[in-house]
Amino acid sequence: MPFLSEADQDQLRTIFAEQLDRTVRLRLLTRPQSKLYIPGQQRCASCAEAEPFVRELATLSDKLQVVVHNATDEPEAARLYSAQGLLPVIQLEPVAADDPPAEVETRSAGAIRFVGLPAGYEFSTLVADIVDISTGHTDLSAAAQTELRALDQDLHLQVFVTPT
Amino acid sequence: MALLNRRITADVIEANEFPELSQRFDVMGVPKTVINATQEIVGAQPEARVLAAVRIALGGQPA
Repeated sequence: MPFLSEADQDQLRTIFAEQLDRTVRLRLLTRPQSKLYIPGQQRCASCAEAEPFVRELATLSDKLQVVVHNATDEPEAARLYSAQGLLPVIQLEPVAADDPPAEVETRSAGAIRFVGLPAGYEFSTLVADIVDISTGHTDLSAAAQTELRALDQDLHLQVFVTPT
Repeated sequence: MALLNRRITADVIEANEFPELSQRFDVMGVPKTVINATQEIVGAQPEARVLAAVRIALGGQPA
């Protein structure tokens, strides 16, 4: 069953067609749901929905790519992309024209990641971030941009949100 | 911000899905932004306020 209504899909197709510039990769780190409860393994509330959700979104523009990593089968990807072991993670990446496709080649530094399924209001944040990454757009002032571009220390921003 | 510098990583975390992490950072209201696990901002704040918190988190002085 689709996550998005026909009307929503049409609206998103228009937004993406009009606003996307560079291709954006949606890199998903998830874990297929097991019927078994494995002691010690963190449960993943939205892993079952995450892959169909991301794939459905990517059908709405040819400038959206999807790469899916299974955290259980791909420990290297899990190490590179996990957010403190939390799943699922959707990492947004700009795709350069000469980028090698699909394999594990970048780490999460400099990334925007959605941890947990971006439902409800957060879905609009996801769409806005996809557009910003595609276009390189930022609302920050010139002074702030200069300061942040010059940072030589790691900066980790964790924004806690709820879907309502 | 994460678009500007590869040293910046921005996570948007669904608080309800990860109660342990939310409790660790005492998330009572959203949006709540935690910067390098040390500085906190609640609500949508002006750019200057966010940058000041970033500077403190990185060990510098507030502007």
